[in-house]
Amino acid sequence: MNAPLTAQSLVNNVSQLYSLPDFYTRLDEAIRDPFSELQDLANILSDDAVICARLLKLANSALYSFPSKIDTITRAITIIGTKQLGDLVLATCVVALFRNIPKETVDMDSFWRHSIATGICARVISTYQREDNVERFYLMGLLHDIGRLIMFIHIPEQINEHIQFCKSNNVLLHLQEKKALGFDHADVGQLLLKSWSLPQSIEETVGFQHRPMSSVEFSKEACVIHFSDVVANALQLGSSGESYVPPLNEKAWQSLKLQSSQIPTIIDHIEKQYDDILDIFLS
Amino acid sequence: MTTIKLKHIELGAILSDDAKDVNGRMLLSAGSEIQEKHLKIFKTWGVTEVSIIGDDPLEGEVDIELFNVDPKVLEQIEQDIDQSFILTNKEHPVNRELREYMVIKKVKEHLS
Repeated sequence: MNAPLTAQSLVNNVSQLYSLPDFYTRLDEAIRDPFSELQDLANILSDDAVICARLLKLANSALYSFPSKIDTITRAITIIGTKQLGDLVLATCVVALFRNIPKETVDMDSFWRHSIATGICARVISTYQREDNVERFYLMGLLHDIGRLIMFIHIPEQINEHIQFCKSNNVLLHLQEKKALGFDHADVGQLLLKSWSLPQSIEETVGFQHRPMSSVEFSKEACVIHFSDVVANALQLGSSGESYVPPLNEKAWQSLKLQSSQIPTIIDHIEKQYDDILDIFLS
Repeated sequence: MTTIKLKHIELGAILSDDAKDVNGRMLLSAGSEIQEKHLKIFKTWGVTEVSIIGDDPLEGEVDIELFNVDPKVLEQIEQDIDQSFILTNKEHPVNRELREYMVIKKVKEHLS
């Protein structure tokens, strides 16, 4: 008899196949080392021409709207900031890691569109909240549905059946996952990020995205991601499988201290950055 | 004095109250004439509406696109959008804003 399917068993199955590149680990260590210099970071980055090209494009994108052209990697690091650099490199590594999944399993393009839209929205809101590392919010938005990706890869028939069921019965996919499997994509995502030894703030935010007020330490982050997921679904910018706009948690909305009249401006910011960022991450 | 959404402001309008961001940071004082650069500053700091002297010149003309579309098409668009919002509280101001934006977007796509 097969062992029962759990969120942990799904993650154990993929942790060898989908692990973060050695390059990222070295960069992360260098960023955290107080004695490393800008040039050390640039040297590590220069090992990977694709990442360098993406970072330069990012530094020159609508995300930063810098007045003059940034043409060296050290300059790009000073614009982006060293703390933020690690999160952006991690974002590009993860997208690259899950690039070659067959279209029949999951529409990766649509999946990343939804994830990127959620990330951009989270980044915009965190700018309003004066957060010091807005790229951390972008990264959390980008990763929020990563657990669903693992489910698409390992149990594609099951997950596609659940999607069809939800469409015919007006049910939210994460609730159907929980009911049918005993866990949802947020649980899987949290365990995967834990297996990658990412900071607890990222792991827990992903885990609590559908019940943001229950997180003890990272409720603020979880509220931003919850709200951004609602916006990205409403705007129909890609899809990670969910067919409906999820209900907005009223307490989470209140905690963001935004006004509903700000929504058009938030959408405006998202739209301005969306094509640029898609081009950088998906090209 | 009229509170007016940023997208409806005509350049040269006079602020009747100080414009401040959500944290109370002063951006432009009452009596100033609103110029292009000020609109950019308001957007940057997340200000979505300000108070000006006089009337809202575009009041009532917000959804002009909606009048240019075949009512049947509009009905179909609204039905599709409403289906995606079926699990939400449609009266919530956030959902109202999101829904209105999507309806106008789909109408524009249809007309283009």
